Amino acid sequence: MYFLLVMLLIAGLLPLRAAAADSATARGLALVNACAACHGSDGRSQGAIPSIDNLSAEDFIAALKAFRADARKGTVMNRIAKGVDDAEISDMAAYFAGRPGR
Amino acid sequence: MAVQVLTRRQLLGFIGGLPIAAGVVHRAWTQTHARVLVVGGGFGGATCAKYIRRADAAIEVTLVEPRRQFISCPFSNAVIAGLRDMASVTHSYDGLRQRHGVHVVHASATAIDPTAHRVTLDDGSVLAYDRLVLAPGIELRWGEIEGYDSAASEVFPHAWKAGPQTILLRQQLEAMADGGLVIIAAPAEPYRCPPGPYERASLIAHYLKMHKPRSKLLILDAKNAFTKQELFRSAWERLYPGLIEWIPQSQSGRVVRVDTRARTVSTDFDDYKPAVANIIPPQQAAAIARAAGLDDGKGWCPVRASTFESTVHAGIHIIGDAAIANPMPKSAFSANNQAKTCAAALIAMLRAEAAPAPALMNTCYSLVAPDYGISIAAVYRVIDDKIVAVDGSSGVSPLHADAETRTLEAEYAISWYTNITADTFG
Repeated sequence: MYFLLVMLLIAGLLPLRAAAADSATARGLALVNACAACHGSDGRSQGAIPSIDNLSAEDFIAALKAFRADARKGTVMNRIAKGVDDAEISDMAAYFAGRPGR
Repeated sequence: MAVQVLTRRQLLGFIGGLPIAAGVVHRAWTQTHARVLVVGGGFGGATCAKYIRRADAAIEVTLVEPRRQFISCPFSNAVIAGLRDMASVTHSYDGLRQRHGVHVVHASATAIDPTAHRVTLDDGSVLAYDRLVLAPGIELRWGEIEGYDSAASEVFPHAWKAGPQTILLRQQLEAMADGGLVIIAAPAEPYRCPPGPYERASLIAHYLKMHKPRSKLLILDAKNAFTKQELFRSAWERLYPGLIEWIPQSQSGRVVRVDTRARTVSTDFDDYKPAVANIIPPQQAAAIARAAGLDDGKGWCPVRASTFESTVHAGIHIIGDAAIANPMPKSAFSANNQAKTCAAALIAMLRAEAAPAPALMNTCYSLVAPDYGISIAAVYRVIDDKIVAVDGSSGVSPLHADAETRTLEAEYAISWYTNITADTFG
């Protein structure tokens, strides 16, 4: 019975968790699409602006937080990074990390 | 035990059934073949068409655009200054057709029926839509400056819609003798590309300094302040000393009249006789966006900030220069960015779902010289259906920066152009 209860509980939570994951993925995609105007579609850049699709999730998060704290010198990124919160930074990192073909 | 086995199987069935159920919903959805019509193939319209198809290839997207090729305003100032050729600012619609399955129709939309959901084209055809996206850009307000109409722009070019006007202004600068006076008349807000007149002044000054150093450039302005003003003015003092003069509205800077036969440009108190005059007149949303009463009576179209749906007519979205999206500037970046927000919202609305939170941003680079770039950027949130810049995110390049930073921003400006045009048309 205990097993049954646990399983039912997990099963009950699954749709909720899936919904939360969907909304985080959607947020990550929306932000990454916005970044694409400078960093290229899907974060793959041509020219001097760095690509952002090839960073590990850890490096992506560290870079954005460093720009936001002015601990890393950038150009527009010191401004742009102040416009996104921790959850959004994680959502973008997770989007790139979860993409196939990397 | 039997109960547990059964339960586990039921659970697996339930969990395994989720994607199947989702698949059924998706198939049911795709059978509806929603039709989206996009009017205008610039940074807003082309991006919107592409990103709708990227997100859901079951939606039929038709893009209506009269021009066979797109010539961008971004980097057209570099063409005017002789730093680039027209081919480098010209873009094809083949990518939208071939890679993204967008139907591109080269015609002009002439009328909208917001009730019947139909748009009439100048070739007589009528297109039905489930949702309409208007991204037609701007129209110049002929006659606001006395004597400045379409014919006058063949003598004093505006070059504010890239194309033959860009080439005309370039040719006039090339033909001008050393020592000539160049005038740029800048309009009052709101207008397309707020830093554009000042980037143009900078790059023309660069050309004059190199080739016609005794010449002078006068900016006659209909306003008393402009974007990135301190950055531009300090750069001008350093790079082009004595070459550029800016006259604000308060010092009789607003151009009120031109006479192309006498070749005069006049403000309230002063008359000038320029060798070359670039008159950038007041603007409004293009005629089709003002059709069906979609504008606010002052020439621009109010929209809901989360979806870019018109506040006048449901089912019609308006993005880019034609829309009122303050404090987002009327820039190529804003249009590309609003297009993606609009695409996501529109797809959700077709599915009768809630529109996702928008991710609104802008970045505008300006070249003050080929190796000297400056920028303005901001991230926005929608609060109570108003677009608000996030604290700290909104700002310009530092006033005191080293040459390396300015060079890097110039390189980024070029890379931005390559990336945004590929993101829009590629």
